[in-house]
Amino acid sequence: MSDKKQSEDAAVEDAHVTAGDVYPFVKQARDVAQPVPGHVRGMPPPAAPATLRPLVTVTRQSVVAAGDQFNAMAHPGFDRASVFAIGDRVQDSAGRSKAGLDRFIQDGAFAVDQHGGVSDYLDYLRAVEAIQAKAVTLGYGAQAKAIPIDTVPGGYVGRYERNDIYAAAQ
Amino acid sequence: MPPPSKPAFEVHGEIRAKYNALGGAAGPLGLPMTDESPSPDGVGKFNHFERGSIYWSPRTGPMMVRGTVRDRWAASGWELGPLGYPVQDQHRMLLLGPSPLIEWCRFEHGLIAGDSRGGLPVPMALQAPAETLGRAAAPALLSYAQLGTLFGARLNAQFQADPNNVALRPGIELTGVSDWQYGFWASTPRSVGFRLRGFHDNGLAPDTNFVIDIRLRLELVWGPSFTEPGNKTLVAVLDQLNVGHDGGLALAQVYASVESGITHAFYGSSADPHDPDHPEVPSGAIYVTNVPTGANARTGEIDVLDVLVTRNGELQVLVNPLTPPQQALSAVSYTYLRQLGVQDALDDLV
Repeated sequence: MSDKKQSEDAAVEDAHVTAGDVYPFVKQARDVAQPVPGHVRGMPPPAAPATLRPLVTVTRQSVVAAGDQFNAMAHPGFDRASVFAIGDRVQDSAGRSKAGLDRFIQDGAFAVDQHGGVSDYLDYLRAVEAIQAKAVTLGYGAQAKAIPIDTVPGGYVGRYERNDIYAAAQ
Repeated sequence: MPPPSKPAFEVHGEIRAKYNALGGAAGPLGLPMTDESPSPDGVGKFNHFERGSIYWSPRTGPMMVRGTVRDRWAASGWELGPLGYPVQDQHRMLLLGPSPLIEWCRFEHGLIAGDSRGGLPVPMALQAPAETLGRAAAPALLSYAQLGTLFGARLNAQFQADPNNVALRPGIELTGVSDWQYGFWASTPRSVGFRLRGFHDNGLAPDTNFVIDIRLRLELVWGPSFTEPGNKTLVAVLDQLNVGHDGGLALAQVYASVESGITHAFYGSSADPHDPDHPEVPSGAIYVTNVPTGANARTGEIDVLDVLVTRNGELQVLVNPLTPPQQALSAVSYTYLRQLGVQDALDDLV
């Protein structure tokens, strides 16, 4: 087998692995639709090099399509069009992670600063510590740490039974 | 355990309820800067916030004060000063447009109005010598005795119109002034008490003599308005009424009839408005007089801010002490000028 063909086979295998890592259901579909007998890294190549390239193409699309079908059955809201290609899937995943982070920031839980750190998150932890310490002094004992600390404009609040305790964000 | 690296402050009770009602940290006050603390007078409580304070006392309730008004109140000694505790949340004049900003807060014994140039108290006696600009005018007021004459005449007119052989005897006693009473949104104002005597002519039988004990609260009301109204209405709210035996032939139906007649004057027999000529008058109150405030929603000018019954039973009209927004500060005391003008109008009333 030529080096070129070996790299194509490896690319197909890598693509499957990547897809399976992103969406586990695809991995199951890939196992069902093994494209070529003996098509495992390190095994002898098949004896039909003339049809290999179309076969690889069809197989790659079939596997992804099978995964999509499985996902569609398992998750009615699964958007097939948005993740048809492996690259799209990775991009989509990263986009959703960014959106989730933005939501976190909007909620005020923490923000990534210009150096990629989470200084506001540390500030939040200091506020929680201050609020809970104040709750202890007010006699809440073990309950001091059982109350969730919410964000408010400019700071944080713990709403206890008889007291609201505030700490400024800065 | 080491102390936390940042402070935390707590609010509770009535102050917490008022703070949350005003929007909490998202409202005008911002975040707490102190724990709830006892006032130096040993009676009240307070929290300071980023942009104001809430003061509570058992006789006034929790009230917000902020900005230049709070600064001037602090300069006068907070609740230990001549003004006492706030009795209403600070009011911001409703204007057409974003500026100028004029606010005022009524206290137990007076009022402070403020704009961006600072705050000034009224009546004038509460101002520092430098603030009076060397002039002095007595507060615009009706004395307790004048109020007695005013309401005695009103009740007498009602009795004269009654065909049931009842009449009031001349004279009216002043039975005292109550203190402010607790309120969450605003304290209930002081009420003034009066005692009147009357009789029912029973023909050949001895007269039935009765005594009326009545307490009234004097307040300004106004109809719905998106801006500060140019006219408000002074009303007398019935706070307490008792009609009892005062000698002669005891007839319970006479006492009940007199009490019913007076109550009817305050509540009417139909749903609101019970006074068709003055629909702004709430149930339980009677119209006393119209009060032009001089408010101009475009310029921010206003002459009359509120009324106040003092510990002596006087009805003071609290004028605006501030220089009009469009004019530079000068050697003119607007408190002086406005108090004189309002007193002329009050004199006409009696």
